[in-house]
Amino acid sequence: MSWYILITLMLTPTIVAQDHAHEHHESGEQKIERPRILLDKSARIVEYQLKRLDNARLLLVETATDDPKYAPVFKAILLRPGLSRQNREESLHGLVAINGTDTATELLAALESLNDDDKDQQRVGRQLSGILLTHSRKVLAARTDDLQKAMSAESSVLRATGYAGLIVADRAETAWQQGETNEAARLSYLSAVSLVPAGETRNALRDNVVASLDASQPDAVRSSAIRALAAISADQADSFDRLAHFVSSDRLRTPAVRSLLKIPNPARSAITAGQLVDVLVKHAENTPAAQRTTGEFLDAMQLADELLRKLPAADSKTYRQRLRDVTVRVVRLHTVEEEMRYHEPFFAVEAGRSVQVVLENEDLMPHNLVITRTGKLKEVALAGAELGTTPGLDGKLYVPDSPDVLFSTSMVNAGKRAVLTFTAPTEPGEYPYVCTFPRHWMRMYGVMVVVPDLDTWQRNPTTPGDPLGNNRSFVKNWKMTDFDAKKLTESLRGRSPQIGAKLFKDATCLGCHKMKTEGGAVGPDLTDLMKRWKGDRHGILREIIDPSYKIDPKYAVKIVIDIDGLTTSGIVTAEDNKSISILVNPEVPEPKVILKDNIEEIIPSTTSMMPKALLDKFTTDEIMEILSYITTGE
Amino acid sequence: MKRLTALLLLFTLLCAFQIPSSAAELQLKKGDHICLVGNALGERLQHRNYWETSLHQSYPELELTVRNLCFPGDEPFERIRSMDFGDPDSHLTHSKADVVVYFFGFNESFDGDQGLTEFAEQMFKLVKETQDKNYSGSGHARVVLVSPIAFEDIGNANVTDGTEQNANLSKYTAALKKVAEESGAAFADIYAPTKALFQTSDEQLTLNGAHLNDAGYKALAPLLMKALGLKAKASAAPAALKAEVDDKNFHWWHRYRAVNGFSIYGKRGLAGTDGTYNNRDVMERERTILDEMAANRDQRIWSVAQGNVVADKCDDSNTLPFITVKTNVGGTNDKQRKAGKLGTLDYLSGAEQQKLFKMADGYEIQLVASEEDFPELANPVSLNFDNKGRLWVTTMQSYPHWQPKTKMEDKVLILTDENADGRADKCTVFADGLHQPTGFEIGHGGAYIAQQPDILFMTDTDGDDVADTSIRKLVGFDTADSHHGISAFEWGPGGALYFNEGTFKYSQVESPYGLTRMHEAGVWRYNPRTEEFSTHVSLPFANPWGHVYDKWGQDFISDASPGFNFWATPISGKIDYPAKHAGGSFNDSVNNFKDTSLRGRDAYPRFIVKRTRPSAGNELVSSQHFRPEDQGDFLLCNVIGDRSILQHSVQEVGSGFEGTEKPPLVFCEDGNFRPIDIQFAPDGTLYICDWHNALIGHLQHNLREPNRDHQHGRIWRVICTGRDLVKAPAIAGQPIPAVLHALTEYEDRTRYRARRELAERASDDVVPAVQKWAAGLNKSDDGFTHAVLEANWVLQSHNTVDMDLLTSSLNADDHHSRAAATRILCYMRNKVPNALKLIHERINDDHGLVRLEAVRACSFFGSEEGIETALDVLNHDVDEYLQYTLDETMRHLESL
Repeated sequence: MSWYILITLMLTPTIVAQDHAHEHHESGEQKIERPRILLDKSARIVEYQLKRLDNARLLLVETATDDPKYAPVFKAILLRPGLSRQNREESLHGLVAINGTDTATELLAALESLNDDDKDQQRVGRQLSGILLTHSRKVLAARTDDLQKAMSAESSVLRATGYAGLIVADRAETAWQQGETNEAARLSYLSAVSLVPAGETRNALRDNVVASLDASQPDAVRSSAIRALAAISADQADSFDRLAHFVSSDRLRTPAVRSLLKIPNPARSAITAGQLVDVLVKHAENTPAAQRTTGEFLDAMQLADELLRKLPAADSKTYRQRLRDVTVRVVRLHTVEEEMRYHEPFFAVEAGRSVQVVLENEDLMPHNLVITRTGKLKEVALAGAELGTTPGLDGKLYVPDSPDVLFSTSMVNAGKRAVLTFTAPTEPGEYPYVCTFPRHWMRMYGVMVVVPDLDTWQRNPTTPGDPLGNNRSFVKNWKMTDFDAKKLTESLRGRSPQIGAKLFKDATCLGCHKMKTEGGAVGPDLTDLMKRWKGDRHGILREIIDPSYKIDPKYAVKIVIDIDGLTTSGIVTAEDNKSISILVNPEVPEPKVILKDNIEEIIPSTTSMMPKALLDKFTTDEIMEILSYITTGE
Repeated sequence: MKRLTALLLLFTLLCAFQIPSSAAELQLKKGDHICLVGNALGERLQHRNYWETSLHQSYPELELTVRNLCFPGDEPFERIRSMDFGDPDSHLTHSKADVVVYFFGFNESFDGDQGLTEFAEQMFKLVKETQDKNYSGSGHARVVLVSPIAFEDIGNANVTDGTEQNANLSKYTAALKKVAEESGAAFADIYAPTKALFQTSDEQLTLNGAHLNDAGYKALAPLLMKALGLKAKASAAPAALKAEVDDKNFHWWHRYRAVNGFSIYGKRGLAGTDGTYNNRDVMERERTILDEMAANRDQRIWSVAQGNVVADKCDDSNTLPFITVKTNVGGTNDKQRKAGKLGTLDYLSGAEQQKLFKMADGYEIQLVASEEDFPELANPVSLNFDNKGRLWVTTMQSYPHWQPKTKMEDKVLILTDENADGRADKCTVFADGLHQPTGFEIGHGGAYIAQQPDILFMTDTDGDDVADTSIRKLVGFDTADSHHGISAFEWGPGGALYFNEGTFKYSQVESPYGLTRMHEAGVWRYNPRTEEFSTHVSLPFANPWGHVYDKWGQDFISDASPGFNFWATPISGKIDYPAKHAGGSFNDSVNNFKDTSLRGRDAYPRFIVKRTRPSAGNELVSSQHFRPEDQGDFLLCNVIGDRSILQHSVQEVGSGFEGTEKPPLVFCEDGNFRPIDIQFAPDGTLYICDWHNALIGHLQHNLREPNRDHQHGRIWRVICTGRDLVKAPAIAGQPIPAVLHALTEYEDRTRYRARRELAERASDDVVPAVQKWAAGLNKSDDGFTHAVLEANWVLQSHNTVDMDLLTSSLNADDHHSRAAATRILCYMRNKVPNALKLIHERINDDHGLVRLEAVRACSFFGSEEGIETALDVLNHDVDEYLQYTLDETMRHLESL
């Protein structure tokens, strides 16, 4: 009397890869049978069997470190796209134990096996490279020979890792000498730049990158150098001027525009900006109409749009009119991977003018863009979530049929884009935009500022007010390395529970987590957090800073697709033989009940529901207040 | 299965309330509409109308209306149908059901003890839901549960004796009784009375142990009346009344099981517009007319039952008129003409057409027969040669759909050439009154004839070449589309009958061993010796109209619409409904795999690069009359793109095959040349069945398009200039040793007919004769290996294995023999000790083809041992075909 439903996993960076597995349901718990892998057969057979398993099943394969037959299992996990860093690190240690090696050796071997043509594998490769490059300078220095060997490996990510490893190991000179020997080597050197941990070590490579921009270099090298330069935070004003030069080149315009877009506005000189605008406007005028919708062209127009702000209003107006004659103004808005936010907190449009907003979803989960009437963000978002699986306005999921919705896209899947063309409201003002996917609105919003004269406004832009009244400004993109585990206890001394409680609320934690009697049920109840974590405050902090490092399966978001193809996503709060209860919206405490008969498949997500960067607008002190509050319960 | 847990809960809840303690009595009221719902037991009732006749005879004053809504294979909550057929409630509402009679339990009983609880729960739920409905508008539906019948031991060692089936059937009957008691439904136990009947009857009452034959239905009628608590009038069903019931049910059948459903209520109902009316408008009108005609016949039934005299002919003048369709053919804007699909409405004579052929060097064409000589030869669709060497052809002059009020007169013809001049001089109508006989095959003393939703088996018992018996041999195929009907019949070398079905179809076929479902196209496999029924290839084809076996038992399938040609071995591993193998033109819409490596029409490779489409029948060149350089070539009918017989050389590459196109063998400039089927004749010439129609598309014109031709048809043959005809040995009626000797002939089709002849003979005579013949074969002869393989095939067709002979084929130097023997091993695995061990040895064979057959064979074993065995193939070279076969084998075994 067993019965099966299909589950799938959300995996890859650009597409939602879905693997099938049969899930065995018993008395409300989900159990997947442990796959039977014939570990005593040849490596090729074992690898084939492991390859056939979806991620959930792969993780269930029996492992132990006392028998080399388990090595292929660890290797498969280490290299499987879509798994968490914790899974990878654990399997790495498994391999080290079995093979009697060390992590660097295993990582180098793993990188060697990656296929250059497979995007998923390349992504895994960058993750593994990241793990390797966090090894200490000393450890990497001891591997100089291996790293040098890696520099001529077949796998491109391994080659780049070789260079990056030498650089981190204080052998930057050696790396450069090797990089100079030929074009292929120089390309590897340049792709190593973004692998090197950001900061001084990376910035120290700038001269070599700049040298690679030289006209004597082949286009491939210059193109790679253009990309590398954007990853360097030193001397960005100089980088801007240097990169601007390439916008006139048909062959190098595309990478140059992309790199220029990454240079922050203050580093962009007005003079260069003026010259660039002229080049870009002419480029727009010379581009045939049919090619004015390509990604490259939109990039160029976005750069022009940003640079127009640097120009005197009159000049800006003239150029803008010329652009209008050939193309609708494009505003590009993209989402930030795993951070649940749009990259820009606001953008401006001119009242009554046509505009095209391109939403590019670079996150791993679906998002949309809904522009609302002033002051209606929360109302619209909640009404959208309330819809659940019922299609809303024009059949769009989570978009309520409400006069408060001005313009809206459908849900845009990971790696996809949607274009929204509309005439801006004639009434100047601040119009919030928001992702109405349930629970996203709390963080994922911004403001479309409608102004009477865009060019005048751009000369002196004013940051619009936060539509939810959140007036914190960006502090830092916190990483776990910013917090010294040894000093944590010290840092937590003298914190105030009142302040902690307030900050807990400000950081929108309460929206999802219950603390004592108050709070949502989307995430785990934090009341007895310390007990569950056995006093590991550092581990708790990691949960906040890097939520996807490890996910409690109970709180992993599940996307339920019913037999009519409608989707419901949320946290499964209860399950019995007949139905599952799924909490779609933390604001609506009643979970939605779906009959199992009607379920086609359940897709668990491998990234946490909890956004990264929740505390980016909080200082170290404030973070410690919150940590103290949740770990002492006081 | 999902419903089960939900039902358990419901069941427990309901048990807490007071429930009736015994089954209710069936109370019939005047004017009741009785609807029969359920599996083949009920479905076959409307073709053997003894019970219904008895019902009207016994209760004439009640003026009952009976409508049969059964489908073979139906289960309480799993009844697969083609698109938009309508749910059970919509049909019960249409028929205004007052009484719903359920026939369930047979197919379910194969789940044994394990499935019993679920069956009971489902039935309880179904009864309760039905009782809640008011289909007739005059009150809640009354429900009757009819038990399955017992299984009959037909005394045939090749067919199950039913011991195990009966143990289960009795439990399922008891479960139904309990459900009836707890739900207040009426219950009719026909298990016990039929069990007793089978034990005492001298006559065989079933076709195969599981399904009643004509005598069985006759014997069932009084038992069913009694079990239902109805009082039957003593006398046997009066013929006049039964004739009225037959006529009513004939019209109801063609309404409810209308062929071309997909072009009526389904998606293509919206196609075929003439500017005003589309297919659905026109054909739903015809279905309404059939409803009215059935209702007219209800009146006659009551009248006859009440002892009144009725007019000779039913008066149908009160029905709605037919919708007359305007033509969309001709004129400057004719899309089909622009696309080159339209022939010419000015049909040429056979002699004029003959001048328009362009033949490959060395070949010429002759007209064998045309509608000019034989008006019966209208729309010929398939051809075959019997063991006497005579040409058989099926015709579908009513294509695409018989119209109510007209005579149904599609046929099977035998065309004989008595003076051997290559021109047919006599036409005998073997079978008439058929509907859409899309394909047929000769064998076992008769002919298997497709007539969706059935395959009929018709025999001529008195030697006049006119069939005088007809049974519905296999039932439950879908009727969604007449041109996707069962076709491309082919005997496999081991004696199983294969036939193909196209997309849109949702079929359920019952056998003594359980139910087989298949949806959206594939190839079926029927073993007439054992009555086993299964899918051979379940792949999302469009309309696979060609299937042919080569000399060594490798088969090839041609999918018409996309013009794709597939090697069949890798896609013929076991796969269970609703899963299908990956590949085929509808892979993405039907399979909808999440795994991208399984997606797309390229998920399974074609063995020939497609240049032109669409195709129809196929054939392999195996005729000493043809040029030596053409031997082994793959021939393919093309009916639109080229209107030719395409020719391809075939090479073995790695574990599989690769075809390369050569200039076409036959091309005709007459646009009405529509070569749809081909086969080599005993004399080594190639016969072509020319559908001969200006219009070719099913979809492109209204089903009632006035320019669809219903008169023309040609049979051509290709001869090789200057080469002798083949002198084929006599086969029909020859002594067994002589027929066995024919197995050493060069021509594939000669050996095909010899095997077909041997399959008809008694196993007790054939088996020892084969063993003796094989023992006398000379090892040093060139043909020794193949002759031994033929011996193994003949034994397989008699459900017999000779391990010495099989071992010889399994270990032959020629890898073709080893591969073919591995396939025999697969199908005969239950009769071979250590079958899997032998297959494991083939997994490690030197040749990829043998390894591939062995991996395929693993899919027929249990999950764990199958996987363990198959995986070892990875210790060898694995090319694309082999990798596909392994992946699909693993996918199936992992799902178990």
